[in-house]
Amino acid sequence: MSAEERKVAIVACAGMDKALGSVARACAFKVVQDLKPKESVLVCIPPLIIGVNSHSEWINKYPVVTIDGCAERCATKIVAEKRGKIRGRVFIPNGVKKHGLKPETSAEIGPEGEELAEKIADETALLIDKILRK
Amino acid sequence: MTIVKDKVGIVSCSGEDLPEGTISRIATRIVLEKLRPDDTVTICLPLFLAGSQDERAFARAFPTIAVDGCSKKCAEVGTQKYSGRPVATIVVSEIMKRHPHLKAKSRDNLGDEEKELVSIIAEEIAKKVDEVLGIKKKSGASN
Amino acid sequence: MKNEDSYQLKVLKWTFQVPKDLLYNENDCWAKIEGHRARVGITDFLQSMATDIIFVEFKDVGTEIEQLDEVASFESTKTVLDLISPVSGVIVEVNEKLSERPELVNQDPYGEGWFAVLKLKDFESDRENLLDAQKYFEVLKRKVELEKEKLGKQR
Repeated sequence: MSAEERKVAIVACAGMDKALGSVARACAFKVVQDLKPKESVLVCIPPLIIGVNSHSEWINKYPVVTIDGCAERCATKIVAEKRGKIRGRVFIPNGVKKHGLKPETSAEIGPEGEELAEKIADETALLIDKILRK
Repeated sequence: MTIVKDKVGIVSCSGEDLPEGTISRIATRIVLEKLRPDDTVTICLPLFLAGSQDERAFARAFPTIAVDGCSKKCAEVGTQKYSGRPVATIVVSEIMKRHPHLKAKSRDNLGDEEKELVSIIAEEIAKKVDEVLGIKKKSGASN
Repeated sequence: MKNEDSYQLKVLKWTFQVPKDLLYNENDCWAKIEGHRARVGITDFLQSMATDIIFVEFKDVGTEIEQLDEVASFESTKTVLDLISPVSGVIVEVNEKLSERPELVNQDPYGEGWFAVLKLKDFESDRENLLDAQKYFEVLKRKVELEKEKLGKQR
């Protein structure tokens, strides 16, 4: 596989109703912009559903890591429906439990929310390394 | 008999591709929590698209306003696909053209210019909510 | 859940289920009577108001509980709440699955999201303070009317 092909597609729920959806989104940005810019692409759910070609191609071309903010697990559900290759799942509530950090609100996750997003992003980066090593 | 709706659903795009998407999201939450808390309900677009019958039923029964970051109009298209056409769509990138001195550079770290844009967009959404409810109320009153 | 098995309260984009075969208290907790035992949990409304539950902590098996005592506490991203027991008795079983998967309370509050089983002590007396589904549904309607503006905010 060439370097260009060795990527992971990140699909985050980015739910509006809950602060954890905003944490999922912040985590996805940190992974794709800061930690793994060459090894990941960010797939946004609505363009994926309405049929923006690049987003649909990415989830079929690259292994997918889903980041879900709540038990609805929209990112995982949608990628599975679109037959994307899910190779890793991140569940933000588990991160809340593990790190003891809680975000403030959906509009402004606050310092604890930012720290939570960073920690989960670091863990997701390790997950990406593991997936790409296989 | 006209059924008077006293709530408007606001569907914002997830906005991960562009800074305009982040502005959409935050502006929508400000309308929900501060500007029009009694008049609005947000519809979570990923949940809506993932198949939530509650979100879709609400969007069918109540007027909705789509708030889109860019011309892809994911919120408008998605809402129309599963529930029906929103009564209005606000496209953030179009409104930003009217304020060329304000630039949106970052998707995740909002600076002063982005925050000002959020305020402007939030006010636009709030005005649209008033317009939508005003129209409905007038129709209800005239019956 | 089929419509005939439960009352459903639709408010804006939320639907709250109230199964007809359970008993309830005004603290939004339910009890399912199983012979000399009762399985207890929290209602759909309470799990929705709590939002995403991340921790559940139980009183120990063997603990004696009076009606209105706490059987368990549960923490969400927003708050910490208690399950206020609808019945009196002794805890004989707790739902260990909730330690690993607390989200089951949100996903299936009347099924896999049960909290504990109590061996009943004085159900005849407890029963006087419990609501059947229809009465609880009326209580729920009033609560939702008061809480309506909070639904969807600050989550």
